[in-house]
Amino acid sequence: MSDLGLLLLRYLLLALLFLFLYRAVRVMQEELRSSSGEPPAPPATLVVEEAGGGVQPGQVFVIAGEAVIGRSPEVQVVLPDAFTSHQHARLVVRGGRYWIEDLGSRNGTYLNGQRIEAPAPLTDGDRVRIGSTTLRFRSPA
Amino acid sequence: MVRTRLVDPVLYGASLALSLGGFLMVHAVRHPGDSLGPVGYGLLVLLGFPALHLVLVRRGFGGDGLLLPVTQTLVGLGLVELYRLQPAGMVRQATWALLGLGGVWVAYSAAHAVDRLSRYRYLYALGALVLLGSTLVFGVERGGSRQWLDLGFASFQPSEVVKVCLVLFLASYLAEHHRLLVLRPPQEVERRILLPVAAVLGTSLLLLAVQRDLGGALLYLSIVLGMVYVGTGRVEYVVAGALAFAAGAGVCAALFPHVRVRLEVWVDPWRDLAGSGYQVGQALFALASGGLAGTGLGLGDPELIPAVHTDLIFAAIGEELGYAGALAVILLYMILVVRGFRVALRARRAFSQLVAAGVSLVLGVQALLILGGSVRLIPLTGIPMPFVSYGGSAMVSNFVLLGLLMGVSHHEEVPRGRRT
Amino acid sequence: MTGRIRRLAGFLLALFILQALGAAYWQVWVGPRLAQDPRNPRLLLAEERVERGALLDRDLLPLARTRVEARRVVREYPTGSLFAHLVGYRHPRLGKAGLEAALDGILLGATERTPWEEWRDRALGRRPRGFNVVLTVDHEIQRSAARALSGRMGAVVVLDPRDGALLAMASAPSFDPNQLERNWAVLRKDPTSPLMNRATHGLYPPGSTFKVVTMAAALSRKAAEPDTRFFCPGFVVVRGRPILDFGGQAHGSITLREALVWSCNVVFIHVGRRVGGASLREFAAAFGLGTSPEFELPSEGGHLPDPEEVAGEGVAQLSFGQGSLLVTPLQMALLTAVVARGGVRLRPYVVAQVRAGDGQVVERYRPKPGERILAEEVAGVLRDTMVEAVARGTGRAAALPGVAVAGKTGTATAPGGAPHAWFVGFAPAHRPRVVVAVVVERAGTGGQVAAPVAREVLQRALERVR
Repeated sequence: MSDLGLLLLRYLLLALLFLFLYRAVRVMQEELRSSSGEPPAPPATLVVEEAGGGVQPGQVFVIAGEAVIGRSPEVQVVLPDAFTSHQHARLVVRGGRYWIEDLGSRNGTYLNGQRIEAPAPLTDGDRVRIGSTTLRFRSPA
Repeated sequence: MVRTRLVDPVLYGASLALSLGGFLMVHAVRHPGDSLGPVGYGLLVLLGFPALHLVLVRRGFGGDGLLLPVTQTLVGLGLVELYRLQPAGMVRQATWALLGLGGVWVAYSAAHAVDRLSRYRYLYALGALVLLGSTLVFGVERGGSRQWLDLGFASFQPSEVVKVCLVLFLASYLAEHHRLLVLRPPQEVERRILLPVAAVLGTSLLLLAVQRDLGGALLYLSIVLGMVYVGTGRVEYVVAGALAFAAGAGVCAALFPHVRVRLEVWVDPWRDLAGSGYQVGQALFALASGGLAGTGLGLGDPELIPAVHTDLIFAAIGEELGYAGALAVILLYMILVVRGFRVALRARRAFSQLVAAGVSLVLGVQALLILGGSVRLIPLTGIPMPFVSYGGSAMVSNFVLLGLLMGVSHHEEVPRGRRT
Repeated sequence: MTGRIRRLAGFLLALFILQALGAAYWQVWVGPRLAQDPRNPRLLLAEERVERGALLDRDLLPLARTRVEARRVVREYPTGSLFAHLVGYRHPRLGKAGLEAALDGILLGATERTPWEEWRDRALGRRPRGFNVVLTVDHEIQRSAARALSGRMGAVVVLDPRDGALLAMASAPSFDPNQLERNWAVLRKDPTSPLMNRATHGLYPPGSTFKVVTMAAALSRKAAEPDTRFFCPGFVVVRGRPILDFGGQAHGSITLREALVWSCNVVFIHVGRRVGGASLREFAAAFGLGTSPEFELPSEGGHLPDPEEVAGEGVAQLSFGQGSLLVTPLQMALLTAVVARGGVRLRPYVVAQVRAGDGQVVERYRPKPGERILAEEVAGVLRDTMVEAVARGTGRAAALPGVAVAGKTGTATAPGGAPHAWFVGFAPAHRPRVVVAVVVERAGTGGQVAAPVAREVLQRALERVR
């Protein structure tokens, strides 16, 4: 490789290195600026379809952003039912949509009848079963 | 406005292009005519990073998106420099990195069950002791210390796993008592803190004296003191611990020549440049010869430094990529540490806060120890540079820590302003 | 806890900034100076990567050059032992000698560059190729000198008196610089010192060749005339002890001129007394004895006796070139050149041109004028006398057909063995093109041993130099 070629390559590599750093810093800046680094999620609700103990059918939980579902009174969506773990599952916003994620519950979380092993995205109308309660996810967007 | 995407193509693109260019340059300058196989293998392994990231995102990963790219850049730099120094070693290192990515997956998945993780505290402690003890009993002598176990197909450094156990143990232990410890604690609680702290301190000094592992001792000490400070806020424990260690180290320096030699070389490497000061001296010459922009990959003489691929790879990077490259490496570690502590700040419970802080502490302290030794701010230790230095056990254990951090980041991060 | 986490993070970041400063210290602040520290092994490695320039004789025959052999850089000396002492060697471990050492910088291409040029070359990663050096020496003349000396120990120096160009510099015994590493141990221990350049570092008493100086002093100071008569009974009593003429020969009544032709010690002792020790010593110094000659190669200056030694009767030994006086063959050649040039001193040189890799001449040597130390007539008388010395005197063995050769023989006694044989001379006598100085160690009389060597060398040299 020619002397000039090597010289150009040397400086190119250093430039790439600093390009990476620059980009990383910009990403960090952006995240600092926006509150969560995520585009805001549309409001969504969970409507109780089949009620286990402690909730009434038709009960509506309004979700704004993240919500933990479980038996513990400290969570956002409280389902005081024997088959629900204290912190059973949670709703998170990722990339502009809602995801349902099981938090290691004993009885599992079911999305449209299927037990979920990993976080799964939610669409309007999905049915989520936690313990003996079935909730319907509504996100009219 | 910079749109933050979960898998940032600019970051991964720049990092991969950097590694590709680096490989090609080293190949052209040092190994022209050789097969490009190792290069291809290295690049393939590096591609594993964005691949893993994509898979995780597909499965809903919402944690810190900078950790993997930054680590890839570090690993890439390490592989390129290793290719320049020791192509055979580079291939081995790449394989370790691949295993490391697997370790990330495992740790990430394990962090899913945060609750359960936090309960096994004594298991971690036991594991740590067993591993350390195993080297004393079964250890293979290498380079003056017995840190290695020979598994036949590879050598394994149990002390690397110990640091993972240590973080987990301290996190769970301190989390359990944290509420109690922040307030003025009763005697009993104080004792419960002092006991493990003293135990770890003692083990560190033992390591220093018996295993000649100055770096390991310093590392464990920093982890313990740092996490105890975060967990309890009692500065007096930190100060007391540091003083006790300094005193112990002083005794060791007086009693043990190998410790004293390290300190003497640190103070004045030029006195015995051809003898005990050779390694540090060559590293300093290398850094000096690099100047601002470096000599260029493959165009310097880092092979003059003894053990350059393990201990002093920073000096090699400093020589061939100049201060620009060295500064970039330092900045990369800073980003890693900053992001790690950010995760800790946003974690929802004490245990995960401590785990994240502990992981960041471990990665940061390792980097600081070896950087400091390379620029003569502190004596040279045998700590490998995280993700860059040649060394499989260190690599994999650091990846496991990274995976833990990512797991905590995903599961435990609460968006700003929404702490429960 | 978050507060503490923040503080810990801040603490670590501060430490990282400290590292960045530390690295800056070693790489940017102290770096450039430290990188040039001679203990940095990188400097030596860098030098080995520069394509070192070649040393060439006046016909551009390579005497030393660098070859790349399977990624290894090899310095080879195609003429082997012929120019071993002049060309020298440069070995990373064994040291350096000769022109390879003296011209090191030029051969490596180190030149004066402006700071801009330095930065530009460094940024482009460009390392200047070493310069090639064209020397004044002639390999044919050198060959004849080496051949003439073969089997014996000694030295031959051949100069062009018109400008001071060195035509040949041979020293025997010699060595093969291509096998330096292999033979090093043996060469070092060899009692005949093959590594020593006898032409520049061999110290010998000049013997009768010094009579030229004595005569020059006498004529210049009007202490005697060429035809002043002296009486030589074959010996002279100095400080109560007799000094004999060589072989105890008595020359009888003889002029100063004849005394030089037949090399009569007795007459010259008388002459020396007339001139006086201090004056004679001054003349010797004027001819350059006792001082290192200005030359591209470092060379010995020899030894002039102290003024106290030559005061009064002490001048006797000096008059015929003995005593504590020590000279090198190079000095004797320069001394002879003064006579050849009609009384003007000469500055020798061996580097004719410095050329860049593409052949472009970068530097050309310009001779510098010398100072006059003898009147032209005095030099003329000396010249004619020296012609006689070769035509019918002690230097007959140096005579060449069809050319007037001027010369002086010398048989220098040195304790511990046979005397050293000397011959100094120039030719053609009236328009000299060549000056030669020959010394053969412990070999006998100048007329028998050194003069034939000079003849062979002069013959070749006259063919080669127009």
